[in-house]
Amino acid sequence: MSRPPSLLKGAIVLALLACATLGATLVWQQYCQQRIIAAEQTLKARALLTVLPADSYDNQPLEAVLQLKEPALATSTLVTGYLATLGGKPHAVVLQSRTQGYDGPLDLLIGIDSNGRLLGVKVLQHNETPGLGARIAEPSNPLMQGFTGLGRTTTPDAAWALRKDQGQFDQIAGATVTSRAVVNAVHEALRYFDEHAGTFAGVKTDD
Amino acid sequence: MTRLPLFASLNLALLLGASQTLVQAASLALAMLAVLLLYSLIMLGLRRFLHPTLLDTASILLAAGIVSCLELGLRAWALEIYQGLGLYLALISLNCLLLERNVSCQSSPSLATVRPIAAYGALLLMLGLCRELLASGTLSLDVGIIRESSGLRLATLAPGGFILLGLLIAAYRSLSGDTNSPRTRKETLAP
Repeated sequence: MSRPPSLLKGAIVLALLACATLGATLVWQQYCQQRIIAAEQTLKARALLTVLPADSYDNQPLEAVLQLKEPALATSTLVTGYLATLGGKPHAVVLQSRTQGYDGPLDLLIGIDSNGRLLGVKVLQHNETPGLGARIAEPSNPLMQGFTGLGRTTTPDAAWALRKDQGQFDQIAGATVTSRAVVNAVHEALRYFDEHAGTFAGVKTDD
Repeated sequence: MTRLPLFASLNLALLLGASQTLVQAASLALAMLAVLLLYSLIMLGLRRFLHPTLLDTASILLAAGIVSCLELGLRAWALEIYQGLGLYLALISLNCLLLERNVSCQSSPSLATVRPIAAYGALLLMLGLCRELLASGTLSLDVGIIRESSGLRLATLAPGGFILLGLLIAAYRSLSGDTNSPRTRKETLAP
């Protein structure tokens, strides 16, 4: 190997390198910032709207945020709500509900059409036990799939419970607490919708 | 002699964490390739200006800078891939440092420095392929993380990946007729 370069020269090169990497990263971050925000919003929108069939709305539901009055329900809290309109008429709402799962908060997205029937229920975020309660988040979960099409007109209030509690829903094996929390949260969201349906028409749109 | 076991063992977190699906493994392999290429190009120019004692600091700085830029770029243009890789993306910088160690063992850059990286990438892809096939029975080229497992659930978890990695290495050894016992094999690493 040839004569090693001097320590001083190396230190100067190192300092320059530090400035260059730091500067490049900062400049690049500035350049990317807008795009990152936009990309995150698009992704969030896609996740939020999976509970709505694609042809059931023609507005930007994420910009039509519902003003929810008294969002604290018996066992769950409604975090946000969005209105989907089709041809200018309210067609469906998406409610984001937070309930208490077996292990920490459980966030649900609940899509309800204008007749008070469920369009779909999806888990947005959870901390349930892998292999047990976490199966609630699997797309083909029978409990979650079974909600579609139900409403308070098709299913009486007393039936909104697990079979164990004299209701009509089959729980996920080994995850009673999680299943019960989900059924209760969905039922409460439906009841909230029925009680407040009139106020959803006059929503504040951002655009 | 292959350096694969050494290179792989120091990167197990990356190898097991980001190989749940083929898409995840492939995107990580591509990201790694890009980072390592850029890193070695810049280091090639810098190395002769740097005193050997400063090399480590320089490579940490450079690797961290490149990986941060890549991370920002992925967040802006391929957010789903970024979310699939999560924190494992940052661990690519560790591979840069290992490459640096590997290069400084050699008197001149040669094929021997590239081989472990190629082997690492191949192993990553194989793991991704096997784990996805075992876990869900099918290959989906969907970018999102697969949450549902209709097959062997163990394959989606890190221990399953570890067992599979052992089997893959064993299969490679028996196929390549490598009969050296691991004990006689000497791995050299610069102190």
